[in-house]
Amino acid sequence: MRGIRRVFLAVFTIWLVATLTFVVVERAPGDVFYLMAQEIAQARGISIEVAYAQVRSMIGYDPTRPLWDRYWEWLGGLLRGNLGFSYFYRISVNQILFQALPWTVFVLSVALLLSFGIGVMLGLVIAVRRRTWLDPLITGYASLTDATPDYLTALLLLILFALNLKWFPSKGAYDSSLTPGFNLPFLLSVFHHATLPILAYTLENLGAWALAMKGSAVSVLGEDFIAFARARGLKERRILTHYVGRNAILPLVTGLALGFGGMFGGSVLIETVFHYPGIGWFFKFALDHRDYGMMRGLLILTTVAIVTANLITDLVYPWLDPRIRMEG
Amino acid sequence: MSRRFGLPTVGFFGLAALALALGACAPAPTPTPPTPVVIEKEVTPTAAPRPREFVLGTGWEVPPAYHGNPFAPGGVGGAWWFVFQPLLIYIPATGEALPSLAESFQEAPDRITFRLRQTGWSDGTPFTSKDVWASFVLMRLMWNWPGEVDRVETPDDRTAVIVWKQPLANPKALLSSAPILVNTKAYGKFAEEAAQWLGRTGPEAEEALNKVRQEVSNFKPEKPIAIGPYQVESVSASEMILTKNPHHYAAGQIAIDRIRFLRWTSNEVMWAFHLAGELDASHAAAPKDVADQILQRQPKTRLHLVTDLSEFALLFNLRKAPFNDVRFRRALAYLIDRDKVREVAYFAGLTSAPYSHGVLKSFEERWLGKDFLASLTAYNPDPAKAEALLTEMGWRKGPDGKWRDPSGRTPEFEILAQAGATDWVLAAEAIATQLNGQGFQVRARAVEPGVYPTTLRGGQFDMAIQFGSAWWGTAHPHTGYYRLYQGEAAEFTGAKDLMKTAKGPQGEEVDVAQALDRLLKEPDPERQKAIVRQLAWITNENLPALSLLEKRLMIFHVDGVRVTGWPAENDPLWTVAPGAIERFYAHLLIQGILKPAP
Amino acid sequence: MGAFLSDLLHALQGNRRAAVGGLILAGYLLAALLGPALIPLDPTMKYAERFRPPSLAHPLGTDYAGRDVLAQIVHGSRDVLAIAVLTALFTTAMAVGIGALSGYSGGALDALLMLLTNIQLTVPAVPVYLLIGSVFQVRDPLGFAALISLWMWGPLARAVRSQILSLKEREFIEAARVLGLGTSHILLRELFPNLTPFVVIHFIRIMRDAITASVGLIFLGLAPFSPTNWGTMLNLAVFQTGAIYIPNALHYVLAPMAVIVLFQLGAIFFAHGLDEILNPRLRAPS
Repeated sequence: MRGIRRVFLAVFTIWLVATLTFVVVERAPGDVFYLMAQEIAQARGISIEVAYAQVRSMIGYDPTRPLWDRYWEWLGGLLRGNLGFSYFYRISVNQILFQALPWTVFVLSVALLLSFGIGVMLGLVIAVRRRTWLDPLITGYASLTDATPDYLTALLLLILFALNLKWFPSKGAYDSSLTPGFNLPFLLSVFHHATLPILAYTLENLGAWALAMKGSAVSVLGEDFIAFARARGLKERRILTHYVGRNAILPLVTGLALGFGGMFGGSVLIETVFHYPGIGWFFKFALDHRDYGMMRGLLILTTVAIVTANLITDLVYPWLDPRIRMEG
Repeated sequence: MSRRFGLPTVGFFGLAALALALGACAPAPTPTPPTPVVIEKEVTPTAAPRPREFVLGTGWEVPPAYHGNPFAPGGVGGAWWFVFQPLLIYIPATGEALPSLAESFQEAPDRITFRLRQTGWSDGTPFTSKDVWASFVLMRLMWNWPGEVDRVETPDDRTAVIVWKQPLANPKALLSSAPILVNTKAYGKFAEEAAQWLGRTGPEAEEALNKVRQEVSNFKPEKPIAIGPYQVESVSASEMILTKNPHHYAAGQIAIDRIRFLRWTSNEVMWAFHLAGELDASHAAAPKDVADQILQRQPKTRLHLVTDLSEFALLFNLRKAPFNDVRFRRALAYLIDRDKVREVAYFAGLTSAPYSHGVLKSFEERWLGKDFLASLTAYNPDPAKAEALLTEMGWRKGPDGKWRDPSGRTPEFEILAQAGATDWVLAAEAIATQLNGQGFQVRARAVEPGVYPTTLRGGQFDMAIQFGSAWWGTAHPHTGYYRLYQGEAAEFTGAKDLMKTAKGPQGEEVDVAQALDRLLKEPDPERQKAIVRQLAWITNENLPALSLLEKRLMIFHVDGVRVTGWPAENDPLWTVAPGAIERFYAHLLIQGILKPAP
Repeated sequence: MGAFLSDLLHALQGNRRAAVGGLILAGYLLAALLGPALIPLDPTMKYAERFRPPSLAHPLGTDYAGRDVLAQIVHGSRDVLAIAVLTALFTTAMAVGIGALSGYSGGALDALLMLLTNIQLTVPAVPVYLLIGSVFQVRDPLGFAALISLWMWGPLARAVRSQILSLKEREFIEAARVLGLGTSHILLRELFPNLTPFVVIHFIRIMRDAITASVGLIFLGLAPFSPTNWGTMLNLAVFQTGAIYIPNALHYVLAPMAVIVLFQLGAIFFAHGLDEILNPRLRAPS
């Protein structure tokens, strides 16, 4: 029963977002083709009037069809997995996704796992050793990163490591002179280019994970079964990893799952700063060209991903955490 | 690669290499501590000699949207001028034309007769006059352009005659921007069908033409069929690679094996490419300091400035008081220091001051001459003259130093600019600041790009930054004056309806539309000049728009890394670049001017 | 409210972190209110003086057109803080309204409002801002605040609802209900005063988030030009004037970054400290 309700809510959420974005994009102002005409005029050496006529005849977009028809077509397309049409590229948003998604997923999953892994370890340590120098250090670090919006972190890394020290490239996903494929120079180049974006995410989120883990671990430490385990004379190390760690990490798993869902949206700001060709970068591109079709498609993709991640966590979590299963 | 490897990079590469080596389960000996040299060796295992290439930046559609039909959405992209080639190349600086896909041509008042070269399309078919005919038919069908062409005659396979509807002032420039696009093998059937109906009217013809248009749009070969010196080899999201068209007449002469295009998403990406030395040429507009950085960090990079055949202007809304009063517009012209505007908004430009006559600055001596220029009103910054004009209109300066209109109010004005076009926004801001310092209340406002043209066309503005006189396509003042009095800019300012007639230099009444029409059809250069002077006088004295600066392209080009042999600083060939810079590069390659660097 | 403020000031004296945070925030507020009058903004472009390093005449150096960076930061703070305060006002009003209604009424209305809240919490904010902001052409602080508060009320609404749910069970509310006092009376006189400290902390948090979001959006180029906004300064530095590539222009990039981080730190300290004062349970066991 609970499962069915969750699924219904998820579908409803997606429908509502799809409908609202449809309405918003239909309200989009002005003439989306003018920018294109300006570009063509200057690239082909023709007057803007001629370029504009060329664009209009090329696009074949017909705004005179009734709103309802277009709405149903749009919803029908979504049901078949078609996220709509990019005004600028004149292809379906799915095809753009196909290119952009791997980069975003690569960088974000590495960064998410890194920051989660390191953060959880640090959090566990400071939960147990509360009076060492490490605790204030990490708390201070967490405050500092909390105070620094992710795009500023990214910008600082860019200026320091890419533009001044030149240790890492400042843009792109790989060196353009290499042939993409499964060969060593290309893979190395991919890692080299991904380092700064990964670092930006990791540095930004590390502190928050550590604090979350600390909070969770502290409350677990106070529970009876820990005292019981200690009383049984188990080794402190074993208690830490097997009892405290395992139980304290459970509440964080939800956050991790949401992180994975959220990553499909990429980060517009970080990917823009590094010119990293993921979903977020395409969102900025769509913004610059006022490509509302693409923005709409990407927004829906993000929504679907997060809603799905939410749903899966909701449904799976009880199996992970026996306490909730009992209550549920 | 001139990138210096720092310690962390070394460590990083070391770790990555180690991980990969372990993953491959190679029975590796104990790895020696990695040094950059060792890694470099590991990374490029006996690389084959790189092809002699030329690296540029441009835009194109991402596959699978990419295809080779120049008439359908998503086709060809920045490869345009490498895979297509015009019959001749027009050089704006000198007014002469060089044969290109034609080996020679003969001009008559109503036609140009071309002797075509013996060359081939990349699909192996020979180039014939029928291809010229098909290209012009399809251009007319799909773009309704160029309207000046009446028909293309093909007396034999190697002769094509382009016949004009009427004599033209500058027909060669027009043909220079109309490359040959299609051959009859692939597109002949569409052209035949379209030719039957073009020129006819009525619902039946309309329907038939729309049907052909649809068919053409749906035709999507994977790659363009090239008549130009290069053909498309591969296209990916991040780069596009062209290789030589083996059937091209100059294939033996062209020494660069391939063109590699990097994706041009925004100017600052191009700056980064230049700073890293990864690009051989681009025309990414850059602020002075960025340009200096590029030239300093990559010492083999040079910068050439050449006219873009356009100017930035401050358009006035002639429908609206007080901008409908020429005295007010002239007063503003005396108040604005245009060179200061150029410094911040577009330092590489040529300031239009002291005139605003609608002829681009770098062409003014050729068209107008020193003596005539001296007879025009010069709008140098001169607050006293502005004050006199405003006082004459009944304006008064209040005790607070603010100007009051005859009704005693202190009006507020806005200068619009297109959001995202930084140079325009900066120009608007600079002008607003200058006017605010001289007793006006002016605000600069950026408007969404999609809404900008509709806002201007609707007359909902006071002043706006836009292209003024732009000569794209023809490199001729006619195009600029057409834009100011009939075309887009005239729709923005309202000059289309409000400046139908004006007083000429001798006080004669001039019908502007008629003058434009005479200029278009006038083949004699001297008589063209007389009409241009008349229009220049009208423009300078009436100021439907105030020219701010002539835009110049900043062509960054690297000499001696991958390619060498760029034209000398004063070579008129550079002026082929505006409007279609790849046409310029392609011409240099075909002529063998650009060669691989030793 | 007055009593609350005097209590607060008193408590602040005992909590150093909150005091430091409060001082920083007060500094920003003063800069926004009085700064523009004290440090005039001279918009005259002096091309020859561009990207001058910090000096006595220009404590934060000059920008790409030779204008004082400090003056721009100070004048920009008015816009930035206006957006932050307005957003916090709108968001708090919406969130408290929705949360209180939801928590107090229960039933179908509660379910519906919580569904909306869930959707707001699920769909990521930045894409929503970009899409809506570009379609509806935001161009002044008021519009910006409206845009941002549109997608920021979720966490507070949910928190208010659970507070109300727990308060509802308390004795004094029961008593009021037994006395036959109306719903609005109970909400206004009994529930809201108990929520105040809690809402104040959230108010500061929302201001922080509003600054992060609005500066980020302007940095991306969403809203047309307002020349002194910190986001515009970053946008110009990164995308337009190429200041990040010019070694001696670094101050122009770093100045807006530094003021943003400092504001955020001040807000964090203040909010944390406030939290400790208001929730004695959290106080460090020292």
